[in-house]
Amino acid sequence: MDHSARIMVDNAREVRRATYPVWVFFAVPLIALLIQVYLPLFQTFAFVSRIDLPLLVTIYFALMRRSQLRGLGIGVALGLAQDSLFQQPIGMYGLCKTLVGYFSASVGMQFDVEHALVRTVLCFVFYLFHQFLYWVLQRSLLDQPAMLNIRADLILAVVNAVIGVALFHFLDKLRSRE
Amino acid sequence: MESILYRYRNITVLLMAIFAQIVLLAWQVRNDSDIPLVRVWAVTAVTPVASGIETVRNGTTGFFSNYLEFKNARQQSSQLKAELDRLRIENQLLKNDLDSAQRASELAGFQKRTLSKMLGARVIGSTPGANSRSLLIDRGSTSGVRRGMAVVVPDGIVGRVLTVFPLASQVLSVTDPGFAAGVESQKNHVHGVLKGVGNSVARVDYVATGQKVEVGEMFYTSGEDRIFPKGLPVGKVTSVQEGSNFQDIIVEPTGAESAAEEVLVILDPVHQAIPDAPPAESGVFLAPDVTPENPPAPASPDAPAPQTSSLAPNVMTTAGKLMDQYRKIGDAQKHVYGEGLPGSIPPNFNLKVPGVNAPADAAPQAAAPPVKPASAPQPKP
Repeated sequence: MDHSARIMVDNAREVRRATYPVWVFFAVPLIALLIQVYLPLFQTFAFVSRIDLPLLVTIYFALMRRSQLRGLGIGVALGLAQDSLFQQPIGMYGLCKTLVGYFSASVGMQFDVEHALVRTVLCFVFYLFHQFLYWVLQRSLLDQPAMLNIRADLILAVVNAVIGVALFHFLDKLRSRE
Repeated sequence: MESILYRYRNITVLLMAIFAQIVLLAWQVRNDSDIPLVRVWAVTAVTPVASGIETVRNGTTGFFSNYLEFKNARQQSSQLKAELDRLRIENQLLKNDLDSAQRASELAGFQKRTLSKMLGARVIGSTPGANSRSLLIDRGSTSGVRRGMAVVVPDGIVGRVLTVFPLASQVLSVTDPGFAAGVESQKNHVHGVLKGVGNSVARVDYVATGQKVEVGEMFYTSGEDRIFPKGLPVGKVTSVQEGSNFQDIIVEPTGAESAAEEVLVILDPVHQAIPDAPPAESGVFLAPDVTPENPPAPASPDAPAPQTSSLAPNVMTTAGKLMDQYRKIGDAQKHVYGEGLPGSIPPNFNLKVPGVNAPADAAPQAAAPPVKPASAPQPKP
């Protein structure tokens, strides 16, 4: 079986943790937040608000670090920061991204997360999971009459998945050389 | 117990994190309050970077904006330069028009104060050769111009008509070697013959040694050549040298330079006296323009009446004065000279016309009955 075509990890010994310089863990989430907050101010870049870059960054680090605790931690941090900047009750994105980070790390241990197809599918699935969770929290905790637009969410999931693959490819370049 | 916690450490942490956030949310929703500290951290982390990016963006935008403005300013500058060039040309053309109008005004003034009947003409060409200098004017035989007629400008004589065509005439310039005219000095009335020498000056010949001619003195036409009427300015003496028999006098013609565009052809010459004073500068006076800085004075009933422009009185010969008097007397009786057959009733030249041959305030005398001409003796059969 060709290595490039392998999706599942056979055993735990094949699980390899990617390592990054420390500044990457601060700079990349910060830039993701900044892009999410700053660019939609301009009419030309209004579409950026539809792309959840903090979510993609959470998925990436959770997958690549292959640590549920680290994935959870980065999800909490990015989620709470996003809540703080978006002027909504703190904890909404925090909860969603905490779960996404945790489950991403869990899934990352089972799959070859450097495979483009695996990345695309995971981004697609976790985006939908994130949106669904957020919708549930809105209705249950905040008692807001939120609607779930499945068609729009599916399209956005595809878009986010494609952008996520490209972003992951770029972030791979920041890995420390072993 | 510890091993169980360690074994389920991840899920425990997850549950704790979820529980903490749910509590946080519940607290916010229930108390309708915020958690400013967390927001302050997030905003503090993001704001400086966003501010820096915004500064860079503004700088970049400003740079490109300035570049575009500079480009536009450059384009605008080119347009303004082209506009300036166009306006300069337009201004030059207007100046030329103004000069033409000024010259026309001068000619009209000269015509008014000169008794000779004149015809205005435009110089349409010149033929400056090695040994001849002539002008081409746009008046010919159809306008009444005939060969030998004098051509002048207010500043002096220009030449005489050499050849006449139907619609144009060739004028021999005063500086042409073939040109000659009788002249007379202003102060001592020394007579001589003006001749061109081929360049911008002329010479006065046949002035005997010993006759007093001064440098700077004006020469006028003497009328002896029967071309130029007496009293027209000719030129100023620039040098006088004594010879064995005759003096060598060089004159700078005053009319040659002014004859650039418009001239007057003397159709009917009338002699005039040579003035005692040299001719005044014939520049046209222009009143100051009415501008906001120079508004017109308000009309006042006490203000003195504006003075009419006073032209220098015409200097006329006795014959000229008499002819003028007869013309006016004839006009008073509505007589047209040149009409009427021989033997018809002439005008009454003894009629007293105020301002002509009687004081201006005198009542006009009733016209005497015209004298009937003596009837011709009937031929006896």
